[in-house]
Amino acid sequence: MDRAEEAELVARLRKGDKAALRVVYASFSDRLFGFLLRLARRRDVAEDLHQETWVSVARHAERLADGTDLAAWLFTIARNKFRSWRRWAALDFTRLAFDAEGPEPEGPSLRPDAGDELVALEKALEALPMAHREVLLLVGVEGLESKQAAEVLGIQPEAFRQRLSRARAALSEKLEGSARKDAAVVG
Amino acid sequence: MNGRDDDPLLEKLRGLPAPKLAPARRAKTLDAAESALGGKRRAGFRWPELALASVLALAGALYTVESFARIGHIYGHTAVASADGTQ
Repeated sequence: MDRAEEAELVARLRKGDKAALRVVYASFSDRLFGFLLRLARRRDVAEDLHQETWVSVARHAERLADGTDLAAWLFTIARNKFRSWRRWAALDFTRLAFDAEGPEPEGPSLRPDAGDELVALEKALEALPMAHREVLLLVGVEGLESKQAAEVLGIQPEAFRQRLSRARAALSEKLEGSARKDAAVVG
Repeated sequence: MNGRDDDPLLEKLRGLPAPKLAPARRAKTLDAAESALGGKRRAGFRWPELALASVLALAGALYTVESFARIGHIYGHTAVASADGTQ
């Protein structure tokens, strides 16, 4: 999607054009769902957050400004939905009383069709702290530009570069640790 | 140029398969979004509440006018009468 096409979509969305919403949905739906699933690590939660994200997108479309970066805007809404859910989940004491173990993670690492290397990568990603995971998801998995990812995270470009560098180092370390463990098992 | 800057590790992340939504759920989400498009609906004008408020306001105004009129009758005439010395 080039800039002119994006600007046209933004203008149509602002007018409440359903066809424009369908085009944006077709382009970003799977990407947002993947992002949310890798953040939440629970399919049911990711599906609900995905729906909430798109309802918010539709509700606020009329307030879109000219020149809005659609990808950055959409991922910002999705991230905010996830953060709200996470805050709520942290305060949900009933979960502690009735489900002390917590649900098993259902992240993409459980896909049966994924290869060993991909499973290791997904697992390493899942094991990272949230701040590292989200920066790697935005830049690595979703391919957002640095400027877009910094906008989604609400940080300055310099802070973004540092966070990306730390996240990358942490992922690398996790992968090496996992490879050493596998080698020890084989040996 | 994107944020990956040709980093092999980040390129590897790019190769991760995209999880898919079930088609039914995908359609349901799109329906919900389409219904929400167009922003918040403006609430319809509340005619019954407006009628009730008007009646109460009118009754209050009439009561106030009548009260002042009564006060006028009680104190106004007496004061005038005693000033004239006719009573």
